Parts: sequence; C-alpha cells; structure tokens
Amino acid sequence: MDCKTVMAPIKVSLYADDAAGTAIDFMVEKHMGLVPVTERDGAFAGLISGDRLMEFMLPRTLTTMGGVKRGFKRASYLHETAGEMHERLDALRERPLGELVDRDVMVAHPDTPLIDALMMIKQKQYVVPVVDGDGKLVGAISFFSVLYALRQEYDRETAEKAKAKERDERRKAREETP
Amino acid sequence: MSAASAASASSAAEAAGHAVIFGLDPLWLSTGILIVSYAVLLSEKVNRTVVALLGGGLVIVTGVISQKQAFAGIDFNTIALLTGMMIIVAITRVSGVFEYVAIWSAKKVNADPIGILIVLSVVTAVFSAFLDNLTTVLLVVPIALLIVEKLRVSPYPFLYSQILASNVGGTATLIGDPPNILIGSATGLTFVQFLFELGPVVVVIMIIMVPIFWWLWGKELVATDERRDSIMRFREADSITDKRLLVKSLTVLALVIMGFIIGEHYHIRPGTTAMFGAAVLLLVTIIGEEAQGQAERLHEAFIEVEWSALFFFIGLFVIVAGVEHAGLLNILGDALMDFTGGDAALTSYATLWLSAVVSAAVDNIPFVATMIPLVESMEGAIGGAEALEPVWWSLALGACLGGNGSLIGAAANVMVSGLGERAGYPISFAKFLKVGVPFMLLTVAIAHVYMYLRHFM
Repeated sequence: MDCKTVMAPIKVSLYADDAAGTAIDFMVEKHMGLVPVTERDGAFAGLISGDRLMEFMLPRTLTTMGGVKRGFKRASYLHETAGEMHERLDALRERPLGELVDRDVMVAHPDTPLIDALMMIKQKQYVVPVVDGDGKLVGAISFFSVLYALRQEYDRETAEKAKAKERDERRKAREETP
Repeated sequence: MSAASAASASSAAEAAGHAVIFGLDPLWLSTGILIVSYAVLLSEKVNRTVVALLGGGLVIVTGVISQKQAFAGIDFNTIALLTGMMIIVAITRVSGVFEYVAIWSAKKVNADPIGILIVLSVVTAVFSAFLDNLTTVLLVVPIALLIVEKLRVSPYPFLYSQILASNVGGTATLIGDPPNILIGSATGLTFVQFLFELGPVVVVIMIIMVPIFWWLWGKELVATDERRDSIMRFREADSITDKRLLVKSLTVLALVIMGFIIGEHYHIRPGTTAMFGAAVLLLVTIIGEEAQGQAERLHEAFIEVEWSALFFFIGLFVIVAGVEHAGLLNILGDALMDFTGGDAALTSYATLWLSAVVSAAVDNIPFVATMIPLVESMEGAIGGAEALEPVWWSLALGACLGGNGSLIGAAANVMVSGLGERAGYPISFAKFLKVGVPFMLLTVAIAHVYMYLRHFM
C-alpha cells in the first residue's frame, strides 16, 4: 500500500496569508488539532497546530526560555487574569498564519509506502501532508485515514479472496461432475 | 611480563623522557600550541571545549609532556568544586527558591522598573558570590526577562546590569567566579581569606553600582500602573514546588558554605566539601525511592552539570601544564619582575591592570589558568609567599572585574548574551562596550585604591 491509496483529500484550504483567527475558528469548529496550510497556488506551506497556537497564548519569555537549561518548568505564580490572556489571543488572531505555521515538518509523496507514513505518525506528527513533485498539497494522512483506508483495503482483499475461493470451488465442482 | 615489571617498564619509559616530535624545542612548541589555542578561542569558530581538548592532546602527543605529567597538571580540586556546586544547584533549583527570591524582591520595590533592576542586580551579585556566576545568571535572567515582558520596558538595561552585577558579586568569594576558584585552588588561599580580602571592596563597588544604574537607566524605565499591577499579582509562594526539597537543599547548601569556611582548618579542600555536599544532597533526595526512581533522580541532577565547561577546564590545565614544564611562564615571570623591579606594590598594580585589560579582551578563565604558574614563579624574586599575596588578590580582582569590559570577557557575559538572543533581544557588542568599559575602568580603579589602602599605604 502507498500513500495515494490511504490519503484523505483536502476539502477546505487554509492559506498562509489568512489571519490566524480564521484557522482558530476553523479548528474549533471542526475539532481539529493539526491542519495543513498552503500558499494561494496550492504549494504546501506548513502545519498549524493547537499546541503551536497555545504557545503564542503564553507570555513570550516562557516559551523562548522554556528550552534553555534551567528555564521555566511552571509558572503558576504569575496569577494572570483572563483579560491578560485574552489580550494575547486578540493579538494572535491578527497575525498571518504563514508566520505561525511549523514549516519544519515531515511530508510524504503519493507513492511513498504507507509504512513510512506510519513511521512519521509514530514520531508524534499526527498528520502527514502528502505533496506531489511540485510541492503542491494533494492530501493528508492521519491515524483516522489510515484506519479507514486499511479497513477498506482489508474488506476489498477479503472480498476478492472469497470470490476467488468461490470460483475455485465452482471450477472443482464442474471438473468432478462426469 | 608480570604486572610489577610492566609498571616498572612504563615508569622507565616516562623517566627516559618523551622525545619532542621532530626534535623541536619544547618551549617554542608549547608556546605555539598555547598561542594557536588562544587565537582559535578568540575567533569563536570552533567550540571552546573542543579547542582546549585538542590543544591539551597536542601537548601530549607532540611529546612536550607525558600523559602522567598532563594528568598531574589537571586541578581536580577545581573540577570537583565546580561539579559539586553544579549538582547542588541543579537539585536546589527544582524547589523554585530562586524564582521565589526574584519575585519577592521585585514586589518589595512595588514593581517599580528601576527598583526591580537594582534589586535583581543585588540578588544576582549575592547569588554570584555563593554560587558560581554562570549558574546565577541562568537562574535570574529568565525571570528578569519575564518581568520585563510584563512591564513592557526595554530588556537591555536588565541584561546589561545582570552581566555587570554577576561579575562584581562573583569577585567576593573563592567560589564566586571561575578565576577565583582557580586561584584559591592553586594557592591554598582559603574561603575566609577571599571573603575578608575581596568582600569589602565588592561591597564598596556594589554601593557605588546602585546610583550608577539609577543614573544610567532610571529615566528610561517607566511602566504604567496597570503593568506594575501585573507584577504585584505574582504570588511568590506559588513558585515553591517542593517544600521538603527546599528545606533539604537549603540545609545542605548552608552546610557546604560552612564547610568552605571551617574545612580549611581540617585540611579539607573546597572540592571535597562541594562533592561531599552534592553526595549528601543526592542521598537525601533519593532515599526511600525504588531503584528505578533513584536512577532517574540521579540522571536529572547529572544532566544539568555543564560537562562541556568541565572538559574545557581539563584541556586548559593540560595546555598550561605544557608551557609551564617547558619554562615559558618562568621567562615571562622574570620579565614582569624586571619591569617592576621586584617591587610588590608595582607588581600588584601591574597585575591588576594587565589582568583587567586582558580579561576584557579574552575569556578570563584561560588567562588566569596561564597567569597562576607565572605568578607562582615570581615568589622568590618578590620576597616570599607573604609578599606575593597581594599579587594574587590583584589577579583575582583584575580578572573578575575585567570580565565586565566586553561581551566576551567572562563566561557569564556570553551566557546572558545567548539568553538575550534566544529571547529575541540580541546584545550588540559595541553597545555593551559603551557601558562595560567605563564600568570596568571605574571598578578596577576602586580596586587599585583599595589595594593601596589595604596593603601598601
């Protein structure tokens, strides 16, 4: 099996020049945590994720210093008000999506074997964008699309085997009939 | 071959000498390795630990010194002191005590930006005196930047003042700054001697530092009442994550500092005190846990040790051992003696200013590591160990205070610069010079006057 048989088509596109607010509303409405973003010409731009958006909801220093040795592990002592957090959310909604997407992500091609896409998902990238030779986004693979396609493929294979068996039995019956 | 005869053959090989490669003069070869290592360190093109280890390796493989002599040149008291303190701080940090102190201080000045800058500078100076200053800036700068973000004021005065204060505070004690650790370890000067010799001048400098910071940045740092309220809402008590750990770690830290003070009377060097304290703290934090949990706790503490810094020191000690064995430092020491005519006061002042200027231009750790055997070589000419003591204090004052002269003058400066860059506030080398050089000159001048009043009046 390869990626083109498993990938789900992209029905609604989020564009890199859209405001982040568009993505936030879309993700909330569809209950999606990780969505591919494209340029206007269809070229894949990156992934926007819930945790990436949450990162911008935090005071900036907490995220920039978070990875540093001896950086912040927790910050409950800040006692921020909802107003302070909302202020950052409002600022975030205005920013272009292209500035916020994660561009450093693993991608698959339509003829990439499915097993490689599964390895990417195992590395905690829960949506694997599928791009063609020109870098255009043609679909995406996730845990759900893999399971759905696997079931379809398995059902097809089982049905084919059953048909073949039936054919064999009929052939045998004809041969045994004098 | 029996073990005994193998050992005897090995020591015979050592004694037979280790021919220097291609019959080169060991003096020129070791000097060349030292100069090239310094040049590459200065260029910052290759990681400093790799440079030091390569330089140290070259000193051995080219035959300037044997492996045995190289290992004898490594100051394991310094390595143990640094490692022990790094482990103690790594465990103590988890309790949240450093955030507590920073937030408590900021609220004590009613979240006034310049007030916060000054109290955080004092906090950093005091922490730098009793921990090492690299660790201190790693602990205080992130919380300072968080406060700056909340206040919506420029972060640069905070970054600059943290650098200046860490170098000033670190000057005060034997464990405060790597140059002092090196000097204390090489000379046997005690923690108490460092505190009583260098502490008073550091207090004077800190008193002068406060109005200077006010004058430099007081007008620039203004925040609205709303912004200041966001700081006053911080609850420092919530930063304490583990009260039992807090009590355990502060108790061990206090005992270790006490151990530095009284240990010297019982011939217990600071390296032993720090490592023993680290072992005790590890024991009291892991006791009662399953084997797996104990291993994880140990791993968490050890992962915070700055291994690259420790190996930098090891490589450096070997390079310096090379030039020391080859006689370069005796030659330079004699030249300095000729220049000062063996006069203790003049030698002290020359050492103070030379150390300050060189430490501003290059990392003060390799400089001091090189200067130590050089100063030791002057003991006879200057009139004995007692006459040499002011020179050691001058070396410590010059190297530590000189570290403020540029952004690469001390490891803490480089660390703050890196933290600033990561947070989106890159520090300009030239802009820092405008603040750092005058501050360095002023503080070294104060140290000069202090040396005169204390030792030569």
